Amino acid sequence: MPTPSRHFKEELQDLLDARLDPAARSVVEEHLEVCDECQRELAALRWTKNFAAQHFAVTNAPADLEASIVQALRADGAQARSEIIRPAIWQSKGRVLLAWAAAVAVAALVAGSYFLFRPSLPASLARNYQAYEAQTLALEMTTRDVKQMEIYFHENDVRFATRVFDLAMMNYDLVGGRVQRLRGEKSALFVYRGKGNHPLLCQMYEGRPEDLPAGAIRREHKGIMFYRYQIKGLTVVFWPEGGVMCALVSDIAPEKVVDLAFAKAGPML
Amino acid sequence: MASLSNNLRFEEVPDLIEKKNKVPDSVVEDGDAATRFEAVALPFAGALYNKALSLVRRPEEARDLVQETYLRAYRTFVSFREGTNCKAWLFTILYSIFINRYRKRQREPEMVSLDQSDGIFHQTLSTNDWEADFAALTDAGADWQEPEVRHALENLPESFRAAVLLIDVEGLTYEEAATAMHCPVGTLRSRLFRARRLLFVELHRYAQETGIIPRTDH
Repeated sequence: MPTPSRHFKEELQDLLDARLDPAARSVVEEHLEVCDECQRELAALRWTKNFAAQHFAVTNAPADLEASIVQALRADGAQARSEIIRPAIWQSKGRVLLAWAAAVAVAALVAGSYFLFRPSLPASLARNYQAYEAQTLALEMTTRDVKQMEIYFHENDVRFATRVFDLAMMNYDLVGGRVQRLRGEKSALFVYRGKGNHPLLCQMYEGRPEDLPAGAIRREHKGIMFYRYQIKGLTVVFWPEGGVMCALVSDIAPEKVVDLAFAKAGPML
Repeated sequence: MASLSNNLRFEEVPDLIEKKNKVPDSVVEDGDAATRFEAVALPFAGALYNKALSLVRRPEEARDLVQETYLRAYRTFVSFREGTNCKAWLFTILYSIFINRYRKRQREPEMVSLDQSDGIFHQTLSTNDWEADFAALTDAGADWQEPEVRHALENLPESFRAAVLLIDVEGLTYEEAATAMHCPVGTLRSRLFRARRLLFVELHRYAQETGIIPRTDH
C-alpha cells in the first residue's frame, strides 16, 4: 500500500469528533483510504474515546450527596432571605410608620453603625489571623502549656470553660493567646505554629451556628456540623460545642484545617 | 489488512448529549428559584462529583467541591440563561473553584511534550501485532478491572484528564469544555488529542500486563 507523504494528526480527531467541514472531511477520508498509519491512529483514538465514555462515567457518588447539597442550599437560601427581608418590612408600612422607621434608622445609624457595618464572624476571625501574622495583634500570654492557657482565660473572665487543644500529636505547638473582644463579648483566642511555620488560630466564643452568615460549606462528622468558609486565601472552620462556638483559621490546605477540627471537636467540658 | 473504513462514519453523540442537557424553558419559567434550581441543576450532582473526584482525588474534598459549586451556582442562578447547557455551566463553576483553590498545591506534570507523546503512541501502533492487539482491545469480553483502569486516567496531567472527562465522558462540546477550562478551543483540542493518545498508550500497556492482549514471542 502506498504511503502518502503527509499524515494527518489532529485532523483525525476532528474527523472523529465531527468537527470537519465537508471539504476537509473528504480530504481526510481520501487519505485514510490509502494510509495504514492514519487508519491505525484513527482506530486507536476512536477506541479510546469510546472506552473513556464507557468506563470513566460511573463513579459511586455518595448516596446522600444530593440530600446534603439540598440541605446546604436551603440553609444558605434561608439565611440569605432573612438578611434581605429586614429592609423589605420597612418598605411595606404606611407613611407614619415610614417616618418612624426613618427616624429609628437614622438613630440606629448614628448609635449603632458598628452593628450595621460590622464584619461577619468568619471575616472577623480572618482579620484576627491577618493581624496576628502582621504582628499587629499581640498575644497577652506566651506559653506552650495548654493548661496554663486555660487558666489564663479563666482568670481573665472569659465566661465559659475554654478547652485549649493539645495539637502536639498533629505537629502544632501552642504559642500563646489573648482575650479578644468579639462582638462586644470576651472570646478566647490562641495560636499554634505548625510545620512550615504556618500559624493556626483558634478562637472560642459564646454563640450559635445560626449567627454564621450564608455561604458555608457544611459537613457533618460524628454528629457535629462543621461550617467552612474561604476568605482571602484563609480557611475558617466553625463548629458548635454546647453554647460555645469554636473556630480554626489558617492558610494551610482547607481539608487540613477541617481534619484538625474533626480531630479536636467534642463536648466542651 | 482489515479495512477500518467502516469506522469512519460520522458520529453525533456529543450533540445529542448536549441537547439532552439543555434546560427546557418551561422548567426555568415555573416555580420559585430554589425549586427551579434544584430541578435544573441537581441531576448533574453525580457527574460533578465524578469530575471533582478526578481532580482532587479525595472523596471528602470532592464532596466539598461539589457542594461549593452548587452554592455558588445557586447565588448566580439569576444570570443563568435559558436554553444553555446547565451541565457545562456547572462544570465551569466547579473548574473555576478548583483552579483557585486546589490546583496551586497539586504537584503533577502540567505539560507532556507532543514529541514525547507522539513517539510512545506511534511505537505502540507500529507493532507487527497491531491487528491482533486491536482485536483484543475491542473484544467485548475483555476483562477491564475498573479501579486499575481508572489509574490510567488519573495518571494523565490534570488539564488532559479534564479534557477527556468533559468531552468524552460528559459529552460537552469543545466550546463548552474550553469555557469550563478557561482556555481557548485550540488549546482544548490539542490537550484532548494528547490526552487520548496517552490514555491509549496507558490502556494498551495495561492490557498487555494483564493478558487482555496475549503476549507473543518473536
